[in-house]
Amino acid sequence: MKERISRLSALLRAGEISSVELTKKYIAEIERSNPVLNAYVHATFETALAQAEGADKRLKEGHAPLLCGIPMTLKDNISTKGLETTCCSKILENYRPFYDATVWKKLQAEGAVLLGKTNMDEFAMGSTCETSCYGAALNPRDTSRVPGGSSGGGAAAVCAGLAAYAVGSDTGGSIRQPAAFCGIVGLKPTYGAVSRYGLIAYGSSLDQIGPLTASVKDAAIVFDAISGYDARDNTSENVPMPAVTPALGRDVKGLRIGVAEEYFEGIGAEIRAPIERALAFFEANGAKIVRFSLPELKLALPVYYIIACAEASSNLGRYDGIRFGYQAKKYTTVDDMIITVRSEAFGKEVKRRIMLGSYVLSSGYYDAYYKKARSLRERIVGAFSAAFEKCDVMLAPTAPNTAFPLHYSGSNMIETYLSDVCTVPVNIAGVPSVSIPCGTDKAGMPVGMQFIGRKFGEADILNAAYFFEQNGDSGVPEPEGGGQL
Amino acid sequence: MITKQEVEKLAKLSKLRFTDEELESFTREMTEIIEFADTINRNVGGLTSEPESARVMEIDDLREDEVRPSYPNEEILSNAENSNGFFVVRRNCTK
Repeated sequence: MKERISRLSALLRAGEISSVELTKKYIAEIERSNPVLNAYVHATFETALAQAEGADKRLKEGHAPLLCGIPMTLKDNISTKGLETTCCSKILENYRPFYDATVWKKLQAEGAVLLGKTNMDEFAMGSTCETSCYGAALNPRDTSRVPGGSSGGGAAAVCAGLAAYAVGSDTGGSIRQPAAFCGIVGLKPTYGAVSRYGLIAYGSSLDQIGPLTASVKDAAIVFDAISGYDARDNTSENVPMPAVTPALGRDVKGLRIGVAEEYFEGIGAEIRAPIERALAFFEANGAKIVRFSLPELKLALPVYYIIACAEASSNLGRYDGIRFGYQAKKYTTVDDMIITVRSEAFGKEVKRRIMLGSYVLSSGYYDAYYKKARSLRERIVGAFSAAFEKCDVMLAPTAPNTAFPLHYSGSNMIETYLSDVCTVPVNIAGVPSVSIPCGTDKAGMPVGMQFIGRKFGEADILNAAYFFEQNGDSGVPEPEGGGQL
Repeated sequence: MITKQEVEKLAKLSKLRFTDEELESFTREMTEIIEFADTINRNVGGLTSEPESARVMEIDDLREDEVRPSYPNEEILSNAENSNGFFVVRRNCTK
């Protein structure tokens, strides 16, 4: 039941339901639940129904791709031609791009149906989805908690059955952490595997687009559809990327699973216990657990915040209120206009990161922070390469905690930053990682674990995750919307 | 420790304006964050000493420098509040 895409696709192909009917069911579900969950910030129902009609034609003709006619959602930082794309920031209010992001172009070619754009932390800066200018999204498993961030709206939509799948972005954990908080699957692909063309930039050397789904197989299918070289993104890698979906279903005999002890430092029993159980499960199925130390992980979090903020302060320099978005009403000079626009329309967290970025890049501090962080990044990249000599995949917690209560991060800024400790190393190293549910805490909230792979090792991590999903027992109830649709 | 004057300078560099109250809270918060970022300048198990130099990104597949159609002017201008075949801003220099 978890596998939505292949099941829905089979129903569509068999003519048991049309894409228009399916889309209407999802729209009804969104109209019912979204006023509470706030997962969607821009509905695109008219577009969706038109796309569904087109998909129905293709389905009737036969040979339609797997994703044809299946309703989905995109994070609000992925450019959609003519449709609002605001990064959930006041500074981009009413902004409608005049071009499509490559991932959205690819998905349209597959016949995807876009239900709307989903909520996120402003400019993807946050771990709770609360810095959105449209207000917080809520966690469908417990609405007194956050869905995680920054792709929190997409995770909530998939969890609540408001989309078959979502596409988000992950700069320091923004796909994997909300997936863990909502008890779904989130894949951060290898840097360079999915084109970033049309993804509104936060930290360009870290950002990567990937799927949030109800199952591992769904994640593999979406990854196969959106990955590949794109000449419009010069960090996109022109290497062969064989489809990963057919690679699922292998056993794990002889698989070397690496466990770096630093990933577990300071991690409480409620998170650690289900992961240890998963390790025992893999061992019982013939995998080999390799435990080692990866001390460089201790550097990853400060290195991440320095590099991400430096890149953000530079990337967000483009928002001047002249060419698009929020406009100043009263100003004296052009400089005053730019300052007024930025001061009125950027939220507090965004300002904080721009300021930190300006600090680490400014004269006198550049060498001690930015330059040093860049060189330590190389050390972390090297440490991951060395670790993958000893193992095939690594297993780690996705987050040191389950979903925060609402409003927690407002009064615990540094603690919230520190909670990214398990997710950021992968972005620093540019390697892929998939988070899947592995257990629950005392309150019944899902715990996530992540499989980390070598560069372009998506097939390895997805296969290990699939093996656990099919044969293990996470105890996490299936997300909504599996049965009724 | 970061001073209020430094935060003011950073605000100028970032093209941001803050009230006095905001400046105070930013000074406190920035001090906290920078202290955390400073981990990389403390000796964490010998890891932070003598860092290797950062790699310069290799771009080995530069595309051909050929003329291609660009996006139409009116589309590029479609999101600007003031446009007249160009982006319009208030005159910024006097005769």
